[in-house]
Amino acid sequence: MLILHMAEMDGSLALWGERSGDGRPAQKGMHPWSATPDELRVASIPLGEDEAFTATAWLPTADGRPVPSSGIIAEVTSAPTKISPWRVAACRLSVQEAMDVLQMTYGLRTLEDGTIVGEDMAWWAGVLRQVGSMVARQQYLPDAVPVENSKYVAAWNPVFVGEDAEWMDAAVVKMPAVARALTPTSTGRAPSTSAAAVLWDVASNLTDHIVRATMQGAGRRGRRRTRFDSIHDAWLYSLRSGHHVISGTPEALRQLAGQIHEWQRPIAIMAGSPFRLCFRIEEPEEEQDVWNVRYLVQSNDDPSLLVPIDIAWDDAERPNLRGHLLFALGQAAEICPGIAAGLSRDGPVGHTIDAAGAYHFLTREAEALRQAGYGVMLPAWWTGRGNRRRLAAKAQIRRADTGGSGILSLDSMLQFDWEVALGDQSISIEELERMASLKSSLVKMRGQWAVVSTEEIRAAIDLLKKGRGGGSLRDMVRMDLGVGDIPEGLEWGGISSTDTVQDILEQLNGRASMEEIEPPEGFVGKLRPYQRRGYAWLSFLRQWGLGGCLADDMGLGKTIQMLALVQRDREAGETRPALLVCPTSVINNWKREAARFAPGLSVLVHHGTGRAKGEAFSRAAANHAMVVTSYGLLLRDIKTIRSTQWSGIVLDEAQNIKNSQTKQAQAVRSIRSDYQFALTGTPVENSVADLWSIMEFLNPGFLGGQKKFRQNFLLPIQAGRDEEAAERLRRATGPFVLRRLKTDKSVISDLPDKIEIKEYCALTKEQATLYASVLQETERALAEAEGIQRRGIILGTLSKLKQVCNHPAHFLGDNSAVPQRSGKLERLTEMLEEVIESGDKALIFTQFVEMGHVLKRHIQEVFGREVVFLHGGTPRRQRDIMVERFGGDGAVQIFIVSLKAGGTGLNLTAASHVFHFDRWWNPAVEDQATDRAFRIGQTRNVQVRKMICAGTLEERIDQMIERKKEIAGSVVGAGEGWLTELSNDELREVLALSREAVA
Amino acid sequence: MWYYRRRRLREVKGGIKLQSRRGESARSWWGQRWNDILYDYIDEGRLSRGRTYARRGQVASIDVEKGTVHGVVQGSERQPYRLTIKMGRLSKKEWERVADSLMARPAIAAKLMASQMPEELEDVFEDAGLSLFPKNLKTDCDCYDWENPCKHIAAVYLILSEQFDRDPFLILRLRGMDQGELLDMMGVRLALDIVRDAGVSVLAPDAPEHEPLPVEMGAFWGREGSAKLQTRRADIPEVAAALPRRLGSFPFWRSEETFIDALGATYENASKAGVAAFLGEADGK
Repeated sequence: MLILHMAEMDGSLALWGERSGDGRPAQKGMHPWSATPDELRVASIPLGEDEAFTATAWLPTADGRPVPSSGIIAEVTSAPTKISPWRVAACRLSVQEAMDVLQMTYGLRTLEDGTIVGEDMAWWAGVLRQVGSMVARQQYLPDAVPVENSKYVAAWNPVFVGEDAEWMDAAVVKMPAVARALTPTSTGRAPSTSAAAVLWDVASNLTDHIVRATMQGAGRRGRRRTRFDSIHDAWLYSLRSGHHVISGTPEALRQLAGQIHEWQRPIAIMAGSPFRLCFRIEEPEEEQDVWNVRYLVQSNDDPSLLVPIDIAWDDAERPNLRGHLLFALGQAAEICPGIAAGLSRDGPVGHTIDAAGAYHFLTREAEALRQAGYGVMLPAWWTGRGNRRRLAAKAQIRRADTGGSGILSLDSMLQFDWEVALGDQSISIEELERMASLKSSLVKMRGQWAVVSTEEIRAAIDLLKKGRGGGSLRDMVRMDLGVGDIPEGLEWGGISSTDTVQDILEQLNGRASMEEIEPPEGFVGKLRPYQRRGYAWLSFLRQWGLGGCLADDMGLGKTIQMLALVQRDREAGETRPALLVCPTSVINNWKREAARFAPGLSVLVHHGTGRAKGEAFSRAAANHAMVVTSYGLLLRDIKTIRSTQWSGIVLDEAQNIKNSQTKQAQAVRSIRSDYQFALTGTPVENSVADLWSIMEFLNPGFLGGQKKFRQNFLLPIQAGRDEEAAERLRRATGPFVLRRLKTDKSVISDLPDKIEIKEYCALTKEQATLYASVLQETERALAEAEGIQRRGIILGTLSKLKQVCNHPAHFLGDNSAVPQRSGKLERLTEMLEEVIESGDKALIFTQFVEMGHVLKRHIQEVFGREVVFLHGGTPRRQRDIMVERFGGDGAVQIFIVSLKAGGTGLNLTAASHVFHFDRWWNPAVEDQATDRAFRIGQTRNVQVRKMICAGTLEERIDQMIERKKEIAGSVVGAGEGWLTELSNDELREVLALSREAVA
Repeated sequence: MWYYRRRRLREVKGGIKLQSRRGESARSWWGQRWNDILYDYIDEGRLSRGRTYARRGQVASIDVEKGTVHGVVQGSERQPYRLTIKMGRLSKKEWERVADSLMARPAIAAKLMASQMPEELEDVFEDAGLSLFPKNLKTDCDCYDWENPCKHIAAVYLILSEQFDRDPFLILRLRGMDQGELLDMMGVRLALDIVRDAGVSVLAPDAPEHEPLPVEMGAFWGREGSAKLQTRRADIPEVAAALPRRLGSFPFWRSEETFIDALGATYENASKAGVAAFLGEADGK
């Protein structure tokens, strides 16, 4: 385990790390958990070869040891008492290297398994993002900064005013002190440079680097020019070349610095002002064309203190205020000429403008004033999202051409008339022409203000003159959702139509609810009310040949909603199979869920070495209702799969195709079918880029090409925080994503307090081989054993097989590598990802302490989060700390327990998920464990999962227990003792390994 | 045989040039008022040659002190000429009267601070019983011209009048008052007056000199998720280099390149790099 840290040292950034280990320092005075330079480089960080050296880290220390940043490194036993120096290995980074490293960490907690991004590093990444933003927004100035020997260097420095000043204040408070705790080894004193100064140093270096990186000839090559016509030429040269030191006599340089100083003065004064000047625009009353811009004053220390400026003019207690306001007004007048006019009278309180001026103020000046650090308050009808009133084009559908069949499909052609509307009022050509003659962009229509530019009016008149249009229903759907080819320059005002077309559009965009339909006859399970709604939604999209993404929370039953749809399809006469693609770890689960809820569906698992290929596969597939395969095999057998006729494709864990460039995503998109669905428990709608890839699979071409999408949505939303673009995207994709949270009011009432789920997993090849060899050995031993000895052999075998099902490393006890070797652990990891992402907490029970250690290490490495592990050997004091850190707002999300008594007395109700990683085969013990999370006082629903390796003893014993429970209504004898009473033949049957067990 | 050899002006690299190509050098009313003072003293020929000097960039440097201008002008001789223009400085007492008078008329003060020259400024001085423009000038140049003011003085003088357009405080400085001091008198405390250590830009925020490392674990290492910083947008503005544009032209700019032209392209190109760094796509190429 490695936690990466980054700190400022002598103006540049340096990388160091803590890694878990035995805590024995390499040398005296060396940090006991310092990562070595090689370990730092391992973290797939693009470092050059020569940066390694030692530095001193000044760290909280207790009992003669530095206290690690997290329990992941070593147990935190006591609170630190002082700051002491520790030698650590550190890599000093160039600005570009620091940028490369930081950009890699954006949004990540771990860089790779076992490499964690420290809080300080995440903070520095935030600084880089801010600097990037400021450079993009051009909030920086050329500067000259004095250095030693009366020299000056040219620099591009950031300007923190307004919003950026607020950011700065917040960032200084949030900075983890470790970000400034590194010094060269030669320094004998703890660093005490303030957070603000350290932040400024790095932010200004980053700004300078990013600005210069775009210049030609900014590299260091070439001889330094020293002769210039003027000091200003020398300054420009140093601003634009690799030679930052400005050439010039001390006298000339001093004069230059003075001039820059004078030039920047207004900015510095604004930045240092204790008050903020605000502007509020007010609409005219009645019919006049007089808009008021009023001036207000806001305190920087207490933004809630906002008063009209006339109070400030008369404020005798703050003599500075008057001067500052005058200064601020004077500066604002440079941006907004209306203010300059207002300055002609004493104690100005505002100025007035006409409609044209108001339009200019709203569209231009307001933003410029905000950028310059002023407050601007705009009317709700202007800022209000979505309801900004503009001219909109509407289509009035006249006729649908169904090609004689009378049945409407997405390919049916429609004819319509264009209309133009403002809000919900239609507008005629005459009215538009009258508007055009007003020469004003702000018009009041029926008591409401609206913004209408002359270009829009022109476009609207042209549209009405054209009159008619036509297109397919698919085009109409796209238009209705705001991603169609809308007439240039106009808003989209929707479609008005009658009957069918209207119905489909309204159901799609949620204005009308979908008709509930009965679950198919052959469907055995019972759908909860929200599942019935989901099923109806899937059916609706299926009917229209549209794709959808079902993104319900884990545990809400995406699988059975999907199965109900496939079943319905078959009952409606579909003969082609549906293709289901999922991670290997859930193949068995799908098969079992299908058998349980839709026993009429014949399922073909396309997996393993014996799988059918080519023609044989197509034939086999055609005889089944559903073919289940993994993402890996899909890629390998894509040719075969593509040549088979599919009714539809369903992707489980669809986040697998969130990157549209991957082969998997491309392969999936290349398969033809009538419908496409995606299932995922992670919220896809949060990442704009991921959304495109999934939508492109669901409804090809719907959001436009990737380039256009980047231009229209990705950049405006991610870079510009464009609310309008985000809203457009939500509108366009909303109908195709159904996501219910288990906390939704409409869902929670349908859910039982405790959901018990059996999670069927597969063995890896390695596990299967080990399993078979254990069986062989047992067979031999049993042939000769009797009585007590026989009992011992059977119990030993059970234990060994359970270990194999858990993990090969558990069985072998060799501390070997963990990832990719156990189907059960892979499945658990996938589910934990959803748990952690949604901020939930989980309890994991295992009866084996060794397995608990394997789990803890693995989960920590994958997620970079601390995991606590409670077992019989945990001291009482530590146990209390663990419980406390897991409960309530505690940071620990995963709690592993291995206690025979299930931890009686433990209160772990913060958990909303319980995993039984292996089984006691004693329901009473398991229920007792589950009750740690589920007990009186628990307010959330708890999902309990019992993990079972399909086709192994785990599944068979589970079945026997369930059967006996049903018959006797009582529990099979506690524990595993009863198994030893079975005959050899019976035992063989229970323990056998079936073919399907292997993934 | 004797003949008249036209003596050529020596070229000055990086000299300060008069920006106006024809006619009056000063566009502002106060610049013209300033020039009027000179016109009272100088003959047409010297004025015209001085203007040519100023347009050609023969003025090698100008240094404005309180009440005194030092100028260096290159003629045809090897050695450039040195000259001074002096005008009457107002006393501190007198300036306080001006400041009081200004504060009584805030609209004028605001214009002044916005680097606009309010026409009423003369009235403000009159209210205080003073005059904005000096009644007389003391000029001196080490050239051979027996007439004072000479063409060299005229050249420097005309350049000053053009500077007035961008900086109304120049005239105040010539009368003995810094912008900073005046604003101070008017009650505007300037962030700029804070003394900076070497190596620190005036754009840097205030920072405490010392801030010891905290020993508390949460503050030192950062609590999980607590160090998250939010930057919500990185949109490229429609008008490039708005910030330097707003600050106006650079004082006594002396490069052949126009200041704002020199910066504009940089700002435009860097914006894209900024967006890339914001999105995590900046690879430094």
